[in-house]
Amino acid sequence: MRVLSLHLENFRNYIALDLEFGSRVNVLYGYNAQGKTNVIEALYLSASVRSHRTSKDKELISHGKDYYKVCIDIQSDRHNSRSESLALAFYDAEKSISNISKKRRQAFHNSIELDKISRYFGLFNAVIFAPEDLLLIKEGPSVRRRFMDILISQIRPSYFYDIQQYSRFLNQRNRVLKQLRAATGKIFNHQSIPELDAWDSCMAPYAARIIIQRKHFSRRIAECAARFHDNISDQKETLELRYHTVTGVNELGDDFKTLLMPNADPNPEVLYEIESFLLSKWKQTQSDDIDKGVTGIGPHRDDLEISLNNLNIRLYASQGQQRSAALALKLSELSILQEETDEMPVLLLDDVFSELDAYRRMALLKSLGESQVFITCTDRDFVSKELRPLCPSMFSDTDSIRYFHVREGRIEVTD
Amino acid sequence: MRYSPSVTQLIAELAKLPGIGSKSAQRLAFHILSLEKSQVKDLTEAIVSAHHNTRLCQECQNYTDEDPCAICSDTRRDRSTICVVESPKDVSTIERTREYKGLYHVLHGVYSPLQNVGLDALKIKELFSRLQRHDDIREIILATNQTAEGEATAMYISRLVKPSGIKVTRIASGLPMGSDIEFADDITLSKALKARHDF
Ligand SMILES: [Zn+2]
Repeated sequence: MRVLSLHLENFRNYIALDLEFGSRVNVLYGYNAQGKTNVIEALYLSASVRSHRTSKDKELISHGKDYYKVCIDIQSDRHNSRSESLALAFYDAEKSISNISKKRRQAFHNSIELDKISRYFGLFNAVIFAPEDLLLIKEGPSVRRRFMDILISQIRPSYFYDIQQYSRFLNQRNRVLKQLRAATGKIFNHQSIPELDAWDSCMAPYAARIIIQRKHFSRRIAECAARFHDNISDQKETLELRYHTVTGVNELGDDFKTLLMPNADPNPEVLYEIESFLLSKWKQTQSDDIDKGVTGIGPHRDDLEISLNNLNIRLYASQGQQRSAALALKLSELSILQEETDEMPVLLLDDVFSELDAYRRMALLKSLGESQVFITCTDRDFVSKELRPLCPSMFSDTDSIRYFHVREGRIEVTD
Repeated sequence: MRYSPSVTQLIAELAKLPGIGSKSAQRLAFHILSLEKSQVKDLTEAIVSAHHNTRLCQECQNYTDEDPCAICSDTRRDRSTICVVESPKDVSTIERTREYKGLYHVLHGVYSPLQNVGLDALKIKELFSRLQRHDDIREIILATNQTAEGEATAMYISRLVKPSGIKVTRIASGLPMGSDIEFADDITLSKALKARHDF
């Protein structure tokens, strides 16, 4: 997969930007805070519909503007493939003076607007390596859920739809819980509350599908990450990942566990069993949920637990060990995406080498293969001085490296 | 840009309509100003008389001039089946397929706590009183949109109707997931109507 060109409107510090890229290594260099990462962010957004730095799309809109637009032209490495265009736009509803019925987010494929964002997933795949990767280890479960969700969405676009629907049902359910809490004097034990049951029944199938997909892919991530980690850490430590679901689906009998194992498309019986299990759990915790005004149990609370030598990595590992684990996770993402899509994703390396020692740099460079790479750094000669010695094959052909000088929101192609 | 007070007011009124932003409101306003006097009279009279003459059919809750409405009083229609829809425009969409011969029930919305639309705001009580009044009703087809809120509304009705023994079906997923009936083409919609499943 290659990005041929990028067009930005009102994105961060770029009111209008047009760039054409080289098919191998693209180096964006310049001092910090000049707009290098914004270019990487736009490319990442084009793949995952989300920024790697913020969950608030409003922050991506240039100051004083009411929308942003990110357009790319891409070409698959597959034989005879033609270039395709992708575009994402986001409107700030508060500032937007255009039609109020207009959707906040629009996605286009070859200039045709897609009716659902989930259809956008999988059209363009990229993997980012950035200092923020360390948050995968350091932060709470939501960061790791997001990691799983974006990876699975790129492989199975219907998963993104499931996530969207689930969270919509969940938000509505939580509102009902708050309404019930406000209805003073009532006691809800295990009795049936029709307005709550309606949301539960709707939510359950989506929750079941999310759990199964996460279960399947977390196993693959775990296998992959352990392998990569062996390489990086010189096999002295064992990295383990385990999907933990607060729903307790894991507690279901052994038969059930084996049913979950084989693949990501379980039979309807398994789905039905998980659904019924969740429905009974939600019924059990109903009065608790009403007290708190939020739903306590469900895939929205799940985690991908990470341990190093059987200890919680978040609490008991050094910064260096955490960095290695984060890198192993990201390399797994790359490897699984490549396997599933049968194509090398575009690689975005945002200021990542400064954080890694030579050993880990090597591990990362080895995984790049023939893919198109975007590298940000402050020093133009970083690639030739620091990276070429580590991986001569990749950087030997100077024609395959294109340099972009980023300065105060202006970008120039240099020799 | 500044307009005269009367033009400004016209734009402001038009902009209150759903789906009309300030740009569209300006365009509509200038279009109205460019019309002949008689055309403007036709337009305003149509608005006033539609608003004056229209009421809700006491059976199906659809907008009508006559109560009961043309569909509910048509003796050739199958009175044993009721198709439950979100809005009056869904009735006209389904009627266009000419596949469906039963009656309708219009909810005038969907259950959405986040938008402060409670179950009481929908014509659900009217549906149940209808089921009690007419013992010849055998099947309820739930044809709310396949959005999260449409699904939950259908689920709610289904769970309450089922104990009565009346058959409850959901319009089949011939429609793309998450879609509005309004945008379904006629063939997809008639397929979805034929292939409805027990719910
Ligand atoms: Zn009627």
